[in-house]
Amino acid sequence: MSSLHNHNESLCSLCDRFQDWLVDSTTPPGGARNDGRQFPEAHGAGTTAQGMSGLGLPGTPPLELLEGAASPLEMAELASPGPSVAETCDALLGFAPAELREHAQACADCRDAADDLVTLRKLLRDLEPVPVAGPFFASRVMANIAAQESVERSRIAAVWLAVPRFASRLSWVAAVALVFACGWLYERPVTVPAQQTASAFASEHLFDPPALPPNHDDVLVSLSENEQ
Amino acid sequence: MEDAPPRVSTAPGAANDRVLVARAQADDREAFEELIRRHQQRVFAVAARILRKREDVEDISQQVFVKAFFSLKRFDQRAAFSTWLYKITVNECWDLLRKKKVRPLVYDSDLSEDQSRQVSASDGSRSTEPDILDRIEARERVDRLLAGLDERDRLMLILKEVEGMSIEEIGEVMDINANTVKVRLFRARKRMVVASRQREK
Repeated sequence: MSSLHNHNESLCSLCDRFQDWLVDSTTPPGGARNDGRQFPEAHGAGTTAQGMSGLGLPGTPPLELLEGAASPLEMAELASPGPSVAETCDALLGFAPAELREHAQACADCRDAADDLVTLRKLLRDLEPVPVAGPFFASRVMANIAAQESVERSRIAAVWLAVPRFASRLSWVAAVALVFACGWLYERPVTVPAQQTASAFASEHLFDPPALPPNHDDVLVSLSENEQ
Repeated sequence: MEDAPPRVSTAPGAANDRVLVARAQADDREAFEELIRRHQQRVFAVAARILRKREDVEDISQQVFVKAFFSLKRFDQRAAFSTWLYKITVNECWDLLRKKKVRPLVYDSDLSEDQSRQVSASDGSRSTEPDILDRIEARERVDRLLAGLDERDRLMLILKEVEGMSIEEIGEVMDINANTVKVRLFRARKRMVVASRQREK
């Protein structure tokens, strides 16, 4: 049959579609056997992805359940090996659309991919169960949140409490600085540098009115002195 | 024993999540507590698959919900709440591993012969049933096979095949394109199956 299916792998859209379907597929639930019989629910092919999640029961009963099984019959049923990969694979393909199912029967690659997926899911059933959240987990989280909020609130409150303390200290420091500044200003010797005096003098006389002409009497006196 | 929560996109409670998130955003503590109860097990499961140590799993799960609470106002509900939560979980777990600078999982093969014997004895001491010992061996075998995968591939595989997330959800949680997720999943699956068959031989 597979020899009839001669295709270029990269160009075969059916292969792509089959792969997409396969990725989204879940292994058929416990009851889906080709021959109409049921697989053992607790341990068989009932490894839908969802079925494997949650309480960490990857399709395998946890040890506690095995230990707590009431009778040897139950123990045997729970621990039974379940259907083979080929059986589960056939059951899985039974859920595929007719076109893809026919394709998978003809295409060795797609059949291998389905086998791989089933094998992998069977392997993952043996994963260790995850721990279960305790009954008070939510309460603990809420308490943790409340604690963090109160820490945050007290941090903010601490900032506002620090402001008045800082303000009183600042006013004390400012008062002391003011006293020292006033004292220094009061006691400061008044000394003016020479250059500054000359320039200040110049600037002071810059806008003075022009000097008055000499007195006529003074001129006469000086002329008579020159004649003598 | 609780039932496993169904896939988020098809979950009947998905719409309720939106309502609960909106209420929690309006400072309704009870709504957030309800959200915790709804998602705690899945968060535990995802964290446990990455970290393994029970104490770490519990601590990280608490941290995840606390972080979610304080970031909830910024969550615009474009993605499903659960996807957003798992994204926080994955990031928190990887942060922890980075801080600790340890390998995420310790496998039997990493232990000395004595340690290995002690572990086996402590695991098997609760029961002498041979099938339970077989099961323990099977678990170790799966752990070893998973250890052969890249850390991200391993997580992807577990989120898909064990936790039942969709390709799109995994893409969102891990910040990867959906097509890349498909390709990587396909390769990881192949690698694991080949390794398993080699071991069997």
